[in-house]
Amino acid sequence: MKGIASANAVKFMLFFGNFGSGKSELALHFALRAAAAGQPVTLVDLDMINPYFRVSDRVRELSAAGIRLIAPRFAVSNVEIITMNPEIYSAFNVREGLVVFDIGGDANGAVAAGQYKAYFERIEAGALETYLVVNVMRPLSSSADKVAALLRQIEASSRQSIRALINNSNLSTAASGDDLLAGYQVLSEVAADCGLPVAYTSGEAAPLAEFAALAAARGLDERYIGELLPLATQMHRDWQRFIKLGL
Amino acid sequence: MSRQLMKGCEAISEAAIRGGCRYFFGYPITPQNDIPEYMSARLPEVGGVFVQAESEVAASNMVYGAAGAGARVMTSSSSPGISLKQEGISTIAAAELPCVIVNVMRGGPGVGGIQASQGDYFQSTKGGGHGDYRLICFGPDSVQEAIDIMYEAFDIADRYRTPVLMLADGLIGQMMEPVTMPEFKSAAEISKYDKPWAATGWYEGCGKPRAVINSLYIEDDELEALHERLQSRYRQIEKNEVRYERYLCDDAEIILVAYGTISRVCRAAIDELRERGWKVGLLRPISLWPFPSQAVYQAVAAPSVKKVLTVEISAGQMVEDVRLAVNGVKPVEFLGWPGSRIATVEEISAKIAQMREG
Repeated sequence: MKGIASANAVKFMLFFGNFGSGKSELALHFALRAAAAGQPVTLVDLDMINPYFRVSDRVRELSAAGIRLIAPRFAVSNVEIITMNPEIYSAFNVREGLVVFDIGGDANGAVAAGQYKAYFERIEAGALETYLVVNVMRPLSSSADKVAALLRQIEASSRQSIRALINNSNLSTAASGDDLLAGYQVLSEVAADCGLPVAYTSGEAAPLAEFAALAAARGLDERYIGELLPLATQMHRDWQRFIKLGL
Repeated sequence: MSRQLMKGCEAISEAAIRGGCRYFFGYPITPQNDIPEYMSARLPEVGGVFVQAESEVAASNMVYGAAGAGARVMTSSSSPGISLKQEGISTIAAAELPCVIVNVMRGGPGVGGIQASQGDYFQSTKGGGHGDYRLICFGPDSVQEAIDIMYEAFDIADRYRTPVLMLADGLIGQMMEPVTMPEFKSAAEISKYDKPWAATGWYEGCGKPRAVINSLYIEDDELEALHERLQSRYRQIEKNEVRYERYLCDDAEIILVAYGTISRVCRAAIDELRERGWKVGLLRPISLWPFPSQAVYQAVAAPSVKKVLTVEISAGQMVEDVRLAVNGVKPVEFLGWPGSRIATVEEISAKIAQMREG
């Protein structure tokens, strides 16, 4: 698995971002991919701010994949003010495989990660990867200024430094390569200004292929594209056929 | 204007602002919290005012005050919070004040749960508070339609001097969809309805009568006069503001009637059944009051139609209006459950299969 280079036996991935940026989607992707490759995987649902649309909704799929899920008590219930499960401390003692943290949206959601600063600091050098997932089709991430502001606010409230950006720009059911191109334009500016790499450009196979063609035709700078990461959407609800898992 | 990915609650808020809303008074409750959150950040940017009130009742009385001064004002809540607001809403209706109220419905009764529901149809369309009054009530089926309705809702409220209720089920509030946001309405558009009745200040010799905003009528004949005005307005609303969508009704043997999110599941079921050659259509009310009774009647009275099925995320509320509209000309059946259980495409298709056999 590429991304921020790591030679450690264990890797910790933290996904921050705006609501609707695709944090949970990417968290699930990396967790499921590592589990499929036979790695032990722990997935921490650290979204303490939004009762809906969380990785814990996918408890059945995660369990089937052999992934250990650490979720707040009463996640996916009618309880609005949830509390974190003390089991979260065990995640910091994992010595092998992958530990993924899916963190709540915006700076307010990132606060939940801040209290574990002392534990994150004990992780050996190079084993901690922190990403800002960006969807520029969301109003609060629609320009370089807005993304940079969000980045600073999230870093302050989470007490973490973001190490890399992910371009996951999409219009959901209407996603296209143009969305990722718009994301490229915004993120190339943010990356240059903040001195951060773009680790991944991610999306469903079709829009990602469209973007790859656009990138080749226009000679886009690969530093602001990173690895092309095809995602099989897990989180989106099909509002036409509906759902089995609440909102 | 380019498309964006927006959550229903955010989109409802932004569309309200672009439609001229500059005042928001509310109180937190899930699943509508994203509306006050958005408004608290956004209204100061456009010169507006956001106040988190001490309670829902207080918020609705603040709406009464701002509307009485002629402002474009709104409040929002979810089911139990809307119940708390009813005293203020009845008073606003009685004082003939325009405003917009958003209910992002969750499961009830009581405190219920935080999942989506359509259990507030009765409350919304039959008068949630006391007295002979009505709210104009819309039930969108997508984030884009919620935007379009919110953008126009303040005009409609001003036109009839009456509160408009946007009845979004919890799914519409929480889902994210690609949308196009309209441009800001101009100052001229926002103030196109004269409000000589508004309490905007009075002094000796100012050339206008004192504006009195009130819902207490000391004399019986004054109360009667209010009712005459209200009822005459309601007849106008019934004439002008009925909205609905017909989907594949023309040759249908079975017609579904559904609003909000569940109508999308019905549409998906219809598309599948049409592939099997089954003639099924959908009549989707957009205005819930005024209810599109005539459109429902016309659709089901067609000779091809054998049966009618109403689908709701409730124990059966709108189905009563459907039965009144159908007036016995065709049998009406119902599919739905109280609380937050949402019928799937398979369940709707199975029900239709059973109706075809029965």
